[in-house]
Amino acid sequence: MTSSDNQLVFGHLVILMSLFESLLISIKPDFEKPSPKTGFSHRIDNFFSSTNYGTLLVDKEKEELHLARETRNCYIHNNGNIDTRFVTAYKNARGDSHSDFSGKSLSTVFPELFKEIETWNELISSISKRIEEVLLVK
Amino acid sequence: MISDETKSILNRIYKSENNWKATHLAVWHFDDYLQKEYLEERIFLSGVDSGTAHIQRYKKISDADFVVDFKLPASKSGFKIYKTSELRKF
Repeated sequence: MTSSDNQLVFGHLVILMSLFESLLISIKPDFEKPSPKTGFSHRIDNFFSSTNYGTLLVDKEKEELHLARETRNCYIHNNGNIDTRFVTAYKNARGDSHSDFSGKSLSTVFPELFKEIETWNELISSISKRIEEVLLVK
Repeated sequence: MISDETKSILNRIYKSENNWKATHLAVWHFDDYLQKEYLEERIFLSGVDSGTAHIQRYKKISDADFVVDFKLPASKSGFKIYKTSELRKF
């Protein structure tokens, strides 16, 4: 039963990130217009720097969201191996600039992957609730 | 004001969190917990799993308290629920 843990965990992350992006797009349709200069972190910055949502997200949360997204991307596009964008996101989120990431996979960077996804799940749910509260008073 | 579309996505996010905690999340923790703390039961559960029933899902209630649903054979269809504190009695 535990042999499919990682598949279940990554699958959940994929769904979760897609839902979160869909949420932001449903509120601000221009969120989905990526260009080479508007990566996820920039689009997140733009969304949460707007008047209504400007105080909803602290920098630490923003970095964690970015790390979650890069983790998702490595799982989908890089066969579970990390890339330079992941390393940058990891170092920014976790403040770790000394670790050697060469040749590592997501599973080795996150030996307790399940707990990482749990944390991101709670973060995304928490941010979504804050967004909903803003929408309710508008 | 919340559009129907946004409301629907919000509900899916909240539901996703609940489902996650009710299924995938607990599988890992619970299995690990069983192997560390309830090895005797783990072996027993494996025997059940291969014979007459299989573990349908684990449900996390809190960090230290789990409920397990067992799907019984068709002839005894239904679920039984056990807290970890009750596992030794099972």
